[in-house]
Amino acid sequence: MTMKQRLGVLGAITVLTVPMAACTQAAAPQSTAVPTGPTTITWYAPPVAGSGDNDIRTVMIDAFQAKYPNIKVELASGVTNTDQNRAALTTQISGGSSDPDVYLGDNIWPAQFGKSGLAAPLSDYLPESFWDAFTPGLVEGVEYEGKKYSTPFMTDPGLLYYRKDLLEKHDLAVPTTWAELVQTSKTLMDAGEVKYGLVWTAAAYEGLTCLVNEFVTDTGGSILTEDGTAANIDSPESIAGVELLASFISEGISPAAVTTFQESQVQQAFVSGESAFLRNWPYAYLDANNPEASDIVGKVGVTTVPSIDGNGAGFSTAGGVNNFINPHTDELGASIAFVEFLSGVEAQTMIADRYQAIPVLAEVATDPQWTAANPVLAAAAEARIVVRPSYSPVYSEISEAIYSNVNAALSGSESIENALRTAADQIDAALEGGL
Amino acid sequence: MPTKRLNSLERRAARAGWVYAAPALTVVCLITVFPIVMSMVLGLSDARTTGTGIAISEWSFDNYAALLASEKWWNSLAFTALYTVVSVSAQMVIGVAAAVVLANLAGARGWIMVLLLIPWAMINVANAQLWAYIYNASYGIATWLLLPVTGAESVILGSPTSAIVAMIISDTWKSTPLIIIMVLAALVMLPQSPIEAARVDGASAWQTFWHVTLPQLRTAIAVALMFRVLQAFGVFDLPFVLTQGGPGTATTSLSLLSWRLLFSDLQLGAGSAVATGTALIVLVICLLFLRVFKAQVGREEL
Repeated sequence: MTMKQRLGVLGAITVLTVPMAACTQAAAPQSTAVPTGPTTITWYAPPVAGSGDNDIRTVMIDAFQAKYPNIKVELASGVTNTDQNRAALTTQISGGSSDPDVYLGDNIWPAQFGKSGLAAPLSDYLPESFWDAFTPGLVEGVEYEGKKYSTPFMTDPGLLYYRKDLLEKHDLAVPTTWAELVQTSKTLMDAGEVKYGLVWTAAAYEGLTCLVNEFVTDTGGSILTEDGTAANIDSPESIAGVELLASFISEGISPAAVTTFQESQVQQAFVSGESAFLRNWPYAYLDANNPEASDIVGKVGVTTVPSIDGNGAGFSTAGGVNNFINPHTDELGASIAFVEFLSGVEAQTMIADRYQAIPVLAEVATDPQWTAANPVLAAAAEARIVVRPSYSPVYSEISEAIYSNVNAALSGSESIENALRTAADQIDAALEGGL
Repeated sequence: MPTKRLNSLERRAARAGWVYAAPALTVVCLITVFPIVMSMVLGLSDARTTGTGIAISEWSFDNYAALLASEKWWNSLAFTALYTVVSVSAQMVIGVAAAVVLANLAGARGWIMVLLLIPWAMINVANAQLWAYIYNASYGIATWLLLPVTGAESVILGSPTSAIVAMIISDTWKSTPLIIIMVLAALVMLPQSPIEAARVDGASAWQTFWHVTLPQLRTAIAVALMFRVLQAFGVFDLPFVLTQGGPGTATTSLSLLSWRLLFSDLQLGAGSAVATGTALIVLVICLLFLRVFKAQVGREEL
């Protein structure tokens, strides 16, 4: 769609639905009880795992309907591009539509959506005990001004993948510090085993912000100050974190090309055997062991990302998808039952068992039954989760300031200090409501 | 124009005309006029998404003032303008030259035309993705071809200058055929007598082309140029797929900036202001251009 068409859709939907919105506005508070009669709700969800008969969305719906035979869930399929889903949902919900009732979205949306009235405050409906059951760190990311706007569904901690065959061959240990990783990379590169040591996502997009978040946390810095009211990305500690990232390129263990790499390019470099290490998300493991897509099947190990001091795991940014409820839903009770089910033990066990993805319930995520069988789950259970400052409603501007300026610094068109100072200025401007 | 009184028959015909045109006009209003108006309204107000629709309040030029004060917008404008000027100039020169060559080919013209049309017929995003493979820093063919020149694998999309040049090359590959077709169509329709007269008068081939053929192609060239300027100024697909606007913000076009503001940041006012502002700039350029063009025609051909 061109810009104009997009605007057209946005505009048309607005005007067509404004009168409707006016009607729904005054509706009385709805019952949160699970309905007993036949009810239908719609779930807007992008494809996140499995396909065909094994598509996680239809599998979840079937399991839910078996438990609640009177509630029918209709699937509205989203697309894989998260920004396009955001655009579609924003236009539809801000127009006052009661459809979809529940939607699966990015875990960085809650504050922005909470502020814009696009998501219902779920902490009003679900008890404290419900929220306490999640893996620590995940719930912080769904809060905005004291309320929680979404329920975690699947989480994606950043992990380190390595070539276990090469480490064994050269009698090298799996690195636990970044310095070790640099050393090991150099050994393997000098031995002619690989072209690069480490590949990571440094293109100008959200994936780079995730990495910056991990590194500045490790050096004692942060993207925002603790109270979230100002940028802290230009503090000496934060600068040190980005300098560490940049050193991988200057030390020669990462190619300069990483500044143009998103997930698919780093994955390609790793599965084609060009790189010894890869920093990527949990799906990378299955992908690297898929004979149709990979030259290194069976040669891949996975662990937590290294840290600077080697004292425990490094920090992992938590990507992931959450469920949100449309504030205009006509079926609040059924919608709550559905999101509660999706974060419940039964659904979360299926995520671990059937999809080898990372559950959000602490109880399932650390269950030895799953972690023993699946190295990705084992690594994820050890990961130290750090959330991005998505509790800010202007997080998307904050992230843009980070990734565009850090990308400029990494590709050499700007010094790190200057780039981070510019980023800090842009973040402060965004926090104050400017451009 | 002098006003003319219509007789009843003409009036009835005019009324019928409006009736026949009404369905089409309604559609045009809904899908073209309305969104433009809506975009202008959003750009001039403090528009926010709320749970009950888009709230529009506080009419002001604040969004435009914020743009003028924002480095991001100036950067985007500079990139978009540079991209437009360089890519359209290159395409015009290559396009006209190729059209002249094709006009002089007799037998093979059909086949060559078909081949030339392939890039132009490609879907924009598919074209951008194709070039993303070509420029890929580890397995792209362009990287490989540059290897002997640069000595090491170059990251074509990793530095501002080379990324912009790479984008201009992709666009030239895709869009030049449009110019070739338009100029060629005009070329084959040209009356042969002035050219023959020039030849009889002893003009060289270059003189004939420059003083006789080219002036007659002016209309076709102007139309092609307008088309291309309009398209190039709205460039979205290439930066979106190739660089996401990077390195840094070096290739963030105005459309990409507007898309980000509207659909990532939910800044409806600012995003619409960028969109409307871009349209205004293009409009002014086109009007100026048409004026100059008309003046030229007026002086020489009337």
